[in-house]
Amino acid sequence: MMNYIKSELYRMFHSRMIYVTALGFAGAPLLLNGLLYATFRTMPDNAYSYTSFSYSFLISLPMFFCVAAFIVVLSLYEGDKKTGNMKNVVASGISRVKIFAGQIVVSLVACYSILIATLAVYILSARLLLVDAGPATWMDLVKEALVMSPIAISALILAVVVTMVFEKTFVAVMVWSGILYFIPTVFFYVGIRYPVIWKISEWMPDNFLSYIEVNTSVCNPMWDTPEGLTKCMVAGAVGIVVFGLAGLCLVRKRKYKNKGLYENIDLLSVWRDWDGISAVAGGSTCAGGCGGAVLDAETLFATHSRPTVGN
Amino acid sequence: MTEYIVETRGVGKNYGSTVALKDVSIHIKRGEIYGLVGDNGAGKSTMLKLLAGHIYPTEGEVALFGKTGEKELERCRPQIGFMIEHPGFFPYLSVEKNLEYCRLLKGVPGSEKNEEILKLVGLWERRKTKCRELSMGNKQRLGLAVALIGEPEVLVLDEPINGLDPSGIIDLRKMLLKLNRDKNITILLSSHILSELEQTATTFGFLQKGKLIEEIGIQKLREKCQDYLEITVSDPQTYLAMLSEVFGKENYRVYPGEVIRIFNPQKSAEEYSKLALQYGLVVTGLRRQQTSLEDYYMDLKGGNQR
Repeated sequence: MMNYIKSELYRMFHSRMIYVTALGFAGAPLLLNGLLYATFRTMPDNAYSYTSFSYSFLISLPMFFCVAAFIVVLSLYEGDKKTGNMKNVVASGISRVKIFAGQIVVSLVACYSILIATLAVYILSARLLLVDAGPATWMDLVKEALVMSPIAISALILAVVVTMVFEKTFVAVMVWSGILYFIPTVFFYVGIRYPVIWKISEWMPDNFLSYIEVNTSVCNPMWDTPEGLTKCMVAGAVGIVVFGLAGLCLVRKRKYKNKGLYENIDLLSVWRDWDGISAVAGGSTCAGGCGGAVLDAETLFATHSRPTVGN
Repeated sequence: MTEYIVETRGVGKNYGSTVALKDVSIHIKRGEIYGLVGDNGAGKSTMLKLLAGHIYPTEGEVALFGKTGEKELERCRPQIGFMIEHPGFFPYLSVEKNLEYCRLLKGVPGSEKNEEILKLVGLWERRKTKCRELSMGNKQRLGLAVALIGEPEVLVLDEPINGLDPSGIIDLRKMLLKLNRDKNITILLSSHILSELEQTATTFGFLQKGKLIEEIGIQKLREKCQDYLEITVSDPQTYLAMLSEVFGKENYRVYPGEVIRIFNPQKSAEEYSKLALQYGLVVTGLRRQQTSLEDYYMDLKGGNQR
């Protein structure tokens, strides 16, 4: 498995994909802070020119960590089905389970590298361009990233499972979204009528993370309470175990189709690609007017040196 | 007991209701060049995919180096270099980066190996080229380079001459024969271009509609490939009547263009020619031949029955 991880890390750091993705994620908060600075620089006492307002964007959207993890996994592995590279990996004697585990490790390395870069740009640009004031601080942002890690990792594992299992990216996206967003929503609405369902729905991240009280005057994320923190940790741990086990079962007998470089065009690939005799044996003459070089079978047998192997 | 380096034992593979392979048992000994012969859809690639572990057999088992069971096969596969159908690469990485990826994947020490292999397959000059910019023939070469990295004991190559130009085909053939001769690398080749296999393989496995119809060594094949005399006469009907009358029972077949093939001729070519002349027939062609692999295969398939 280490060989697979090494080779994947080599690929990751030698293609532009990781850098383009990191640029996209880090560029967004830079743009946000730049816009806030440009808009409100003449109004220093305005709450919108505070770092807190900038931080509140991400603090109020904790599920974005899951989406970000899915985007990174897709950009890393969606193309594997198209390039047919998986055939090489399997033929090298690496089991599907090891491939699954290796992809999780590599995705985690990629995600945390991008996360660190993004948070650094986010915080530094906010502090440089905006007034460091307001209820939400950079510590809240870092705390959110840490608290959301188990849930984001479970979303990442689910992303690796769906990209490995489903041929079509669209199906993978739909299944991933369905599990993380659609099912919790259904449980939420059905739970209004049935208390048992309601109790279950309360442990689904998309439901319990909806209640984040963050605005220009207050920052009370739910993970600041022991109960909220426990929910994040437990839901994340359960997700890691469930999606991990599901992945182990589903990828074990995965078939790899033989697709080459030749049938590989889709939007994601295009984005990633930025970086990016007919010898007729049998006669010395050819009465039928056949083309091509004419080789005499007798001559071939007689003159060609072959290693002699007993039969 | 002969130890086979690659073996399948009654292997079958179904895709839904479609039977791709049925009860196929191939036996490859160390040092052989095994040619898997068959039409498109005969099951050649399916067989090779089973060996590579891309798919699993519905029935039977695969044995590599005498080992069976998925865990054991996974341990054996690094000693085999595979190139199955279209080689899979990262289009956005250069030739040398793709090879480096595969070197790391196989855990082969020393990046200098890349240079050696790229020179061997004739891609050293194109090492900086991105894979998406490679021609089909060069992709095949890179596929071969990937298969060769890690000094495999066995090479499994599916239609390796696809996309190669004539000189590329000759180079590949020479290289395979050299690898087999100098490094005793066992080679399993699949192709539907029989003339190519005829020049390389030492053992042949003939697949038809998912079934192995024959497995034969080159020596036996040569023995089985009968000599024949091909004579072209102005009136084949008359000639054949005279042939039976004068020479007795002969094994022959008439082909279009007034061509008669007399298999395992009992007399000399001169006597067959004289016979025609005696009856005033014009002989426009006369040659002694041996059945090619192509003819042999067609016979096996039942499309060229004598």
